[in-house]
Formats: sequence, C-alpha cells, structure tokens
Amino acid sequence: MTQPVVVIENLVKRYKELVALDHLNLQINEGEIFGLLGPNGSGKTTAISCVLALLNFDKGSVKVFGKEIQPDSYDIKKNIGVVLQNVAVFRELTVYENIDYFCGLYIKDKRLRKQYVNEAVEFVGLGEYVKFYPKKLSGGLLRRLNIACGIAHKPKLIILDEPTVAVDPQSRNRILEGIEDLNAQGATVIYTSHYMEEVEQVCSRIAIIDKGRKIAEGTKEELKKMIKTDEKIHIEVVGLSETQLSQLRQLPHVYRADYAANELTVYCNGGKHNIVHILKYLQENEVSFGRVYTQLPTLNDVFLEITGKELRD
Amino acid sequence: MQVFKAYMKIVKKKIPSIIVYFAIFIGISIAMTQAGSESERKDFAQTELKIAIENLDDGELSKALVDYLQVNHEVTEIPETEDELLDAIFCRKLDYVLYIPAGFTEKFLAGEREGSLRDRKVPQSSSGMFADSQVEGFLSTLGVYLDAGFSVDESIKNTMEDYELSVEVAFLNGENAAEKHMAVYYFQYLPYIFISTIILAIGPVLLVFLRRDINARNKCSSVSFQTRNLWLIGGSIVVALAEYLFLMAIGICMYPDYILTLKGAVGAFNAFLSLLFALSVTFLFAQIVKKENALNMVSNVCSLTLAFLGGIFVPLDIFGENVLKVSKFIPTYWYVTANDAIAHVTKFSEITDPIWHGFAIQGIYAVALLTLGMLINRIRARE
Repeated sequence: MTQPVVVIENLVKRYKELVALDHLNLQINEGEIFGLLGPNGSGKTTAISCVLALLNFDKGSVKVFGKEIQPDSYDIKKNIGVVLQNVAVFRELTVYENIDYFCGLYIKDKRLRKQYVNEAVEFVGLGEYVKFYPKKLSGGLLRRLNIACGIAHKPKLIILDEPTVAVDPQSRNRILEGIEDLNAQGATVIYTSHYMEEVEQVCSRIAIIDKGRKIAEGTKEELKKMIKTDEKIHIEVVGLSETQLSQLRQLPHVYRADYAANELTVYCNGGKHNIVHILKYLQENEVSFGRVYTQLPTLNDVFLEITGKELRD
Repeated sequence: MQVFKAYMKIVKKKIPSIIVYFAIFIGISIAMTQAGSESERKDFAQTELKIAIENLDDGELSKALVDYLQVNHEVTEIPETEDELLDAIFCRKLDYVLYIPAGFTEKFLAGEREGSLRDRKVPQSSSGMFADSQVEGFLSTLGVYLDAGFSVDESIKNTMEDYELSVEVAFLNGENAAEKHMAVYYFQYLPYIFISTIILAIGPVLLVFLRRDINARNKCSSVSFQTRNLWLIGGSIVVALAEYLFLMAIGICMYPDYILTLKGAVGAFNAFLSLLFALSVTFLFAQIVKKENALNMVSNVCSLTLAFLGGIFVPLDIFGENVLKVSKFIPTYWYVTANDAIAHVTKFSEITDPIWHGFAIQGIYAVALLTLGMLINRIRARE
C-alpha cells in the first residue's frame, strides 16, 4: 500500500476578511502525480504555500512525510523540490550558476552536485544555454530553468505551482513530458494548474478546488462519472425554432439542449446511438444541418457542472 | 557557503559599477581633504584689496598713508577716464579709490581732519567699508600721536609700528588649523566614503537576495534562515573589509608619517568602527528599501546628512549650540570628535575619554542598527 506523502487536514487560511482556504482536506500518496485544479484565486497557491510552510495558517494541520511541517523543518524540506509560480532565479547569474546555487542549497558534495546540475540541464534541455543570463532566455526557456532549479537535487516530493503559465506549446509539452519522467523516476508530484488539459494529460489523481474548498477529488475518470454528461453533440444548424428545440429536449437520454450562433449543443447522459436519433429528428423536420461532431466530457464540464461557472473565469 | 559563493559571484558581476562609485567618492573625498585643510588654514588671512590712489598732496602724512595701504593692499594707478574708473569699480577690478587733495598734510596738522579725503567704492560693499575703516583707523591713530605732542616723523613711525603688530589666532580648544596633519582630514572623510559606497555597492547585492521571489525560494530550501543571513552578512563584511584595506593602503601611501604611528593605528580602528556602522546602516536599508533606485537616493541623503551634521564637511567649531545638540545623536559626530582627539595621541595612555566614547558610541550604533535590520528581516520572513 502506498504511503501518504502529504496530508492536509481541515486547513483554514484567512487574509483578513477573505477566507483563502476553507477547511481543506487533501491526501497525496507516494508515487502520484496529484493535480490541484481550480480557477485563479481558488486557493491553489495558498495551499502550496502552507505545505511549504511559507505561510502561517489559522487552523488545521499539514503533514509532509508523516511530520508536521514548520518553517524550520529543514530535514523535511531537503526532500522537497519547489517550482514556484513566479520564476525565482537570479538575473545576475548564468543558467548554470543558478541551477548550481539552488542545487547547492541541498547538496553539499561538490562532485555529486556537479553531476546533478548537469543532469538537470540535460533534463530541461538547456544545454546550449548554460552560459546565458536569464534576461536572454525566452519565457519558455526561463520556465524550464525555473524547473531545473527546483528539481536538480532529485527530491522525493516535487511541487510545481502553475509551471506552464505564459509558455509556448512546444515548451509546455516538454515540461509536461518532464513531469511524467520525474514521476517515473520515483518522485511524487503535486501539480497545480488552471489548464485542465494539462491536468488531464499528466495527473493520476485530481482535486478540484474553488473558493478555498475542495469540491471534487478522484481520478479523471472518477471525476467525469460524477456528472450527468456522458456525451456532448455539436451540430451546425440553420433556422432551428424554439418549438423544435423543445422537442429535441424531449428525446430519450437528452437532458439539455442549447442553440446559439447556428450551433446546436445537445447534452446526453447514457444511452446509445444518441447522435442517430437527433439527426433523424432534424431530417424528419426538414431542418438543414452541416458539420457534426461529438465530445466526451472534460474536466471543464466537471467544473462547470459542479460550480456552475467556467474554469477560466 | 552556497549563499556566500553566490553573493561573491553577484559582487563580481557588479564590480564595474562598484569601481565607478568608489572612484567618484574617493575622488570627491580626496579633493575635499585638500580643499578643507586649505580653507581652514586661510580662515584668518587678511583680505587684500585693489585700491587706486590719486595723491595730489606732497606732504609726509599723505605719503605715510599711501605707504601703509601699500603694505596690505594692491595699490594701482587711477584709470585715466571717468568711464574707465566706473567700469573698473563695477567689474570689481577696483575695490576702492582714494583721492588725497593738495594741502591735505597741512590741513591735517592744523587740526582740520574731517572731510578732506574723498573716496569712491561699490556702495554698501564690505570691501569698501573695510578700506574706509583702515584709512580712518590709520589717520585716527596718527592724530592721537600728533595731539599727544609727538613730532610728525615720530607719529608716523609709531603709527606704522602699531599697524605692523599681528595677532595669533587659535581655536578655543587649543588647536591651530594650520598645524593639523593632512592625514587627520583624510581620516575625517572616510565615513562619508564608507556610507556612500557601501550602501551603493553592497545594498544592491543584498536586495537581490531579499527579492520576494528569491527569498521565498530560499525559504523552501533546507538551509536555515540564520545560516543564510550569516552568510549574507559574512559576504558583506568581506567586501567592506576589502574596501577598508584599500583605503588604508592609500592612506599609508599618502601619509605614512602619520598612519604608521600609534595615532594612525588608533585612527584606523576608529575608521573600522565607522565601517561597521556603515555596514549596519546598509543592512537595515536593504530590509526597508525595495528598489535599487531608492537605495541610491537613500545613500545620498544618508551620507550627506551624516557628513554635514557629523562635522565631516563643516568644522564642529562653527556649529551653534542647538545644532551640536542634534549632532551628538549622530555617530559621525563621535567619529570626528575621536578623530580630532586621536591627532594628539603619542602613547597609549593618551587615548582619552572622547576617543573611548567615540569608539563605544559607534559600536553601539552598529550593533543596534544591525539588530534592528535582523528584526525587520525576521518579521518580513514571517509575512
């Protein structure tokens, strides 16, 4: 049985009137890539800061590797790698010097550190840029440097707080592949993001939080099962009347249908051949239609259905 | 150690700008050392005026007056035309024009002493009034001797002798500015260099480590808060010591006869305490100020305030009582006081109370400001 690496119980953090974390409970197990998904301001970074003892909290407890974390829990911190949301590197040092500095905060042995730094450089693909200063790097390369600084010392737990913000697709893919590699090498990963595609792609278990509260938790499959939508059908339709839309809503397994900007979106739960039934109705009622495609539910649908709002508000 | 190494790497990258600051402030200070000592030496030198005299009298008294004025002033011919004369006065090429009419000696001996001389000068000018007072003073003394029954020759001789007497001017505290060793001025300006350059050189490096993102990242690491701070302070001390040793080396090259003596060693220790104070100030400001530009401003305001109020740029002797009360709250005042007293030290037993007080107060300031800086750092770390 896998051991819990991080256990958050009833965590409450207030900023004056604002409740940033409202009795948050989470458990992250060894070997997981745990996704913390939520819109901006939902409390993801606050939760991460509490796990790292960067913030004092008002109530609850945070245990990392079985021990309560405190600002001076240096024996715990030496096993944690951190990639903060804001790129935290020295503008005055080169790529290599930056990685060496942060790795050196954990690894005292010079030879081992050199090996680790070189591995980190290779891991994030910055080999050509080791002598570059951060201001000469693109946004994507800078993010990669930030990751290298966080993971060079080969920690058991890696916390990545929105590491792909403002990153080009190529760098983003590289970062996501890197996270999977780190996990494959044995690291437990906590990954926060408001990009559901990324979370869907890399995370083995996901918690969705909003307004400081956990609103759902499970694997992506488990989360999708929590909602009614099994299938979403999009059809390009011209001139659909209100009566016809109402009749569509009466079809078997259809629980919702919207029509806007010549696009009909039909939400179905369960059943088979739903698309056939809908197209048959349109043909029989002489409604002309064009492009047709279906979509399986996404985490965005999960979020939308649970909270009633889009993830990227 | 990692923090220290990174600190030194950042210092290395900032060396060009540090050298520029250093050169500027050393240049300013050495120039002020020279200018400061020169101006103090000339404080009591008599002012020499440019005086033109038209003497139509061929008597002995007018001749004596001209001779007297020639001793202390530059006496020239009167310009030929009225326009030239007015231009010369307007352009301050002439400070004073004296007309001695024919028959002046006769009238003076006959007792007609008022209103026979005529002069021209810039109205209400200090130079004009000074020349007036000299002419009036000379004639008045001459008149006293004549009235007392001395012959004309004797009266002239006595009057001339009276005006040849000079007075030795000394400060109340017994110092004579002209006797101050140049090295005393050199030491006097050191706190200004320390405060200016250390804030500008070390402050930005500290700011890098105290930057919010770097600070947060460091807090996530397994290196303790105290260790990180100790290495930062250690790095700052190394840089400051390098500056101190460099300045002492310059001092030894310039004034070996002073600095390589006991008073030089005591002065160097005084300067070392001032260096520690400058370091503490820098550490404190680095906690409060967030941007490098603001640090530049702070450096200027702080160094100039401490230099002026502490008696580095202006001699403490000319400070009013109230200003002195304020100055006593400033560590540079105690530095300068100790520095002046150190100039009289020839053996260890002569290290007097003002010197010990200076050392103690500077040390207390350094420790207090460093503690305050650490406290703010701690509070910020918990935010």
